[in-house]
Amino acid sequence: MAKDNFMEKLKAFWDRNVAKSRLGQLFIVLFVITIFFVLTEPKFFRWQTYESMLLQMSELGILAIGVFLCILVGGLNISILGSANLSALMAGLFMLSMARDGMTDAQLNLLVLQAFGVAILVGALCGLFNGIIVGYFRLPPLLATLGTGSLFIGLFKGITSGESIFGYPENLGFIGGGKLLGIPVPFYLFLGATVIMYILLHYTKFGYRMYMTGANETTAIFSGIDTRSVIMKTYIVAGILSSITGMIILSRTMSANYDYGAATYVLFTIFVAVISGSRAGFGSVINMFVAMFALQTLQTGFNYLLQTVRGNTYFRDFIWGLLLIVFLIINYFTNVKRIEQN
Amino acid sequence: MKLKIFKSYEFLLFLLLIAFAGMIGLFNPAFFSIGTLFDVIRIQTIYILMAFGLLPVLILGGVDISFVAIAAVSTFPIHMWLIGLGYEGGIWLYYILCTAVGILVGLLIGFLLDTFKIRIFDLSLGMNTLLYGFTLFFVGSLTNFDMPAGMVGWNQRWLFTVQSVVGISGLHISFISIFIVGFLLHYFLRYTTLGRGVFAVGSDKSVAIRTGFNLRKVYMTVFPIMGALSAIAGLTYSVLEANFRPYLFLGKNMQVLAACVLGGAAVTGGRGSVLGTFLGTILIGLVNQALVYLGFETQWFDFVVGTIFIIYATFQTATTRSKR
Repeated sequence: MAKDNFMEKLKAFWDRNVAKSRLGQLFIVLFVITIFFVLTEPKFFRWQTYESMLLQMSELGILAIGVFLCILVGGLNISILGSANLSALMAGLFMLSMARDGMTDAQLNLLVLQAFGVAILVGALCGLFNGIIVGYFRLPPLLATLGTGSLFIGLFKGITSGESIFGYPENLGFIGGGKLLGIPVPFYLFLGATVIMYILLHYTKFGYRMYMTGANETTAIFSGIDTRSVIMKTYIVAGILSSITGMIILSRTMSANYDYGAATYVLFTIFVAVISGSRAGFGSVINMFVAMFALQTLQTGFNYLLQTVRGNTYFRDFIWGLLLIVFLIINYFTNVKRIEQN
Repeated sequence: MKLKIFKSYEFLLFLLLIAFAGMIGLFNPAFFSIGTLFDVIRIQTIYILMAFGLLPVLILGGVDISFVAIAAVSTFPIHMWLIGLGYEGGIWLYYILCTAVGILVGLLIGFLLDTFKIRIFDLSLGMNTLLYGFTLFFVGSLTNFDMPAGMVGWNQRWLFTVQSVVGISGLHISFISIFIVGFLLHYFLRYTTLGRGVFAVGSDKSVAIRTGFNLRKVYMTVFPIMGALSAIAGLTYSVLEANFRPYLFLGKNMQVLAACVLGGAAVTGGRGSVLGTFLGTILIGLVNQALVYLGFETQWFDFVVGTIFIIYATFQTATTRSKR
């Protein structure tokens, strides 16, 4: 009897936390991946590995949150990498034009901070541009952001003649390469972005309106929500998030490069959105966070496994493309289940 | 009937093209020559073919970015294979095999899209990375300059040539393929039931299904067409340039997409024409040439294409909305 009771409880627990919860599934995926790499690669389970993972996932994670927000309001954002690189360039050019010989350390720090401000401004402007054409002019978000992405990168290429721009003050390195309490600084930015977005989505009117707009725009309009403005603001937030990533990239590579991250970054952001179960009106930033962790674990694990393979970057591209398609197919089956249950 | 022609979008685009060319000609008279025209056409032939392939997908209401990767995956592996076998014959075997690979990839895409109800863009994003990764890793990552004996000199087969300021410019025989493909595609889209189905699905999916159009059939036709045309474009380009690259057309998808939209393909699906796409691609080509002739760096090209695309798409969406 006691055993049956236990089984029932277990089943109820399973249903609630795994079968019907994407977060639970994500944790299981993360766990399985981690176990797999720990067993196959002895060097995997070390603090050093996790430190570099925290660094790498932050850059992409902040971008992915931006894309997630756009998906949440029923859109998509392909231009996010373009606006990240463009804001990095503008911040870089700002620093190069303002830096003088013999500046004190404090002055240089202030300069970096100002450059961060410039980046955020540029990111917000890119977002505003996206927001206006998607929110007010009603362009299909996919095509619109595909176009603006090409526009931002084209602007970058035009300004720099396609060259990368470098030669920034050393102080910039702290944002991307610094550590606080043994944890890379970018991770604090990622964590901060996640927490702020969580609060924004769940504890403010604006967040609630975002969910409403995404779930059913017509209903939202009739409930008195100005959906156009909600969409525009969402794209601005996404633009600002992308500029933070831009600053991290700029600081880590100490150069602004128009094709940094090119094709794969967009793929990764969509990938994270797909595996975290985000779609218009549904999704959670916590899921995004865990999904990002799972993706980074996979990526780092692959790096270890493929170390000795020649041309392994190409093989990784191949695998990522394949995985995205596989997860799109899995997504179909989980969606079918959900529809049947309803 | 006459009035209808003048009112049509394609005619407007044609006027725009002439006006644009005339404007650049005012700044730089060297631009106004048959030579320039031939240059634009030779470069754009490939893009026109790809744009023709993308057109039915856009009419379906989807956006695909993987067609460039299909061009790479259907030419480079076939080339390396045939070179490895010591093939010395003409280009026709290449055309047949490459097109076959393109069609197969297209069939796979169509099958996945229909069976698993995946959004076209998401799948194409995965396919794009997968196919380039496949070609670069499993086949090779270096440009190959070998050419079978039967194919050497094919890139110099001109229909006719003219002497211009910059040298001899010619109209390549691959130009004919545009007319053949364009005519077939036009016939398919306008006069076959399946072709009308593409428009129907693009306008309203659920209505199209209830009308009796077979969604699977539509997908399984549109994507092989895209695959085949990408393969032909990729092969033509490779032979014209006399080298085969595994990263062929990488990053060129935006240009083709912009050309289609400029050519009147609705960004929301359900509208588009072969003639418009042709003119749109030529216009994008002219813009590219104009930058050179007006003394701008070619690095501004992406920016200009992006700007045209956004302005144009905004204009298009605004006018179609006011009509409703």
